[in-house]
Amino acid sequence: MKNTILLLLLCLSFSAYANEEREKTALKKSYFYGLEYRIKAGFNIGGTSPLPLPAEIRELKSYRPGMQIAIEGNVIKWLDEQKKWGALLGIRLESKGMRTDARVKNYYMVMDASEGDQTGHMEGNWTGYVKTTVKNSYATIPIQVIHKLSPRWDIKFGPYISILTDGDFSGSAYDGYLREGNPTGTKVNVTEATYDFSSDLRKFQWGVDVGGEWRAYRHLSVYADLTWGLNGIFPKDFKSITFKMYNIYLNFGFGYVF
Amino acid sequence: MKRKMLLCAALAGMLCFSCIQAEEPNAEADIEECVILNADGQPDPNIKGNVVVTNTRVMAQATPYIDLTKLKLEVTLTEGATISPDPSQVLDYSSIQKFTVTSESGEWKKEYTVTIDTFDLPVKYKFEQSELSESRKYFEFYETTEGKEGIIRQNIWASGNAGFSLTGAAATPEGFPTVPIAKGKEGMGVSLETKSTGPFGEMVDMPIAAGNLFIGSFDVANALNDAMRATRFGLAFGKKPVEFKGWYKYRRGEVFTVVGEDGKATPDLTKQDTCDIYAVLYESAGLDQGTLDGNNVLSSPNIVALARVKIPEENILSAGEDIDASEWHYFDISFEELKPFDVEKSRNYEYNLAVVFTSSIQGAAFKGAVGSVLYVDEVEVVCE
Repeated sequence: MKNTILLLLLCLSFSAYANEEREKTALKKSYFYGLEYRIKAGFNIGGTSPLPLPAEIRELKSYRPGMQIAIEGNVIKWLDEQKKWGALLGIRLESKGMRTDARVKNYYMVMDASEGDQTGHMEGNWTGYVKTTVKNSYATIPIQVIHKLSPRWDIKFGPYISILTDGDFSGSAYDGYLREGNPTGTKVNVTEATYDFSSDLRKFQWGVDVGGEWRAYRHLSVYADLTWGLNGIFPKDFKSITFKMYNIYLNFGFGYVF
Repeated sequence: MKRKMLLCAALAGMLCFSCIQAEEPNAEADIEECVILNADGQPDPNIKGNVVVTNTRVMAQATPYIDLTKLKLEVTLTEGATISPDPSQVLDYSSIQKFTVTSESGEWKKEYTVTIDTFDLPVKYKFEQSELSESRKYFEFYETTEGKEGIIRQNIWASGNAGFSLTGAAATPEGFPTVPIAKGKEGMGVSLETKSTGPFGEMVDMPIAAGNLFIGSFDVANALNDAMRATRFGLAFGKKPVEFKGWYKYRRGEVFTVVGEDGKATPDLTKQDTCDIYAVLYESAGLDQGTLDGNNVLSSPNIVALARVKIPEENILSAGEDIDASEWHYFDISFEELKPFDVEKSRNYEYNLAVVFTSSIQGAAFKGAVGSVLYVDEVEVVCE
């Protein structure tokens, strides 16, 4: 048994060594073709928010970005001899999220729910507080133009597309009242009512990504990208949230340049 | 440079959080409170009990000594809202008065009817009269009395239908817990059924709603956050009740449920559902809002007399049996005096009478069996 493990380890280390050798040659070859590889690890900080904030939102009591991680791999193809201009293709696995607690006034909403053969419908104007937790995971593909300003500085611009891999959009409405149907409808005080729109989230997102990267050392860089969602996180026919909400996040962290 | 850029990006990202827009004018148009004043501007002493203000009505009971032709109202409106005609002017309330409240934004208007009822509570209930609520969603029962100037409508009956309406669990008025039935004991009757409130009911830990009907008012504003206190039982009453009689049918729902931790109806197979039918006379002084509610309607020390019907087990149909085809059962019981009856207090309308029917005895705590149905008709409170 022990021997088998030893043998396995030996094999593994050997293959790793062989791989490294092969990689080095591969990298050299890539470099020759004007290709470059980078990996990145960082955080997302920002909000999933309507733009501009509608008048119904009266106050943001609290906002917490939480821990939103992004890891990314890039391939860059330099297009000119001086390696000033290039194209970047990447894949980023990331989460975008936040927690907010807001006070709203006269906010119109429609909610439909079904469970088995039972359905529920709620419609009216809410005045009170709304807590929201967003934690969405995406597989994102950025496609960017990259421009080298100086040996240390790169700037990037381009669109991205994201596929939702896991979504959470939930929270509660609390300490307020609902006017049934419209602002003159029956008034009902609500201490707390929870909601969960996770399953209504749109699977596909797209937007633009503007960023910069600064080479601190030969291989190590720091970077920041602003990713601005251009389609709402809920489909058009979704009525519970009457305004469109967009993902607007700053993605920053460290990169390794091969 | 890098720092600057980071800062710019961060600022742009945060932009969406920073700009709260100017507040819009109020869109609500409510009469929040109402006091009835005599021509001199003093609260009129002939008003009995509380003035009930619902979303579209102001209802008060008064002694026959009140001069309905010369009254003023002191109303509290939603901030910025306006009302016409001006209720602080002397107006004639011998017939129903109407007011229009306009929101501060000017966009929304609501009409209120003000009824001052100088007739005693009726004591015979035939449940012939019901109509759709102002929202057109559910039925409301009412009584009528013949006055000098024609038929007077008395909105004495309340039910939890307005609360059930919020859940959207019923698509038609017939799908609500409290509905009229064509085949009563005589003419029309009333059917009370315990229903599931659907996904939104579970969201607020209220998975079922018992059908109920009672003399008093239903405070829908508190239906979700304090359901026990939403049922305001009883209205001012100036007689001595001695006997409580009427007709009923009851079919028990199959599975008794309680509220589970997730807010869902969770079966409790050790229990069975029962209905509840009772009439209670109590002293209103010192009570919260001058009435008994779900917490104390059967236990308050203010209770003067109580008549509670015991339903014999053999009169209860089981799930699946045809309630329409079954026999009506008669009840006739005496009021039990729990406290000496004070003639003076009664004469001054310091006592309230509540008549209560519910399809699930613990319905106020959202315990009961979906499908429990109580039919009631031809009920009477016999007085001395």
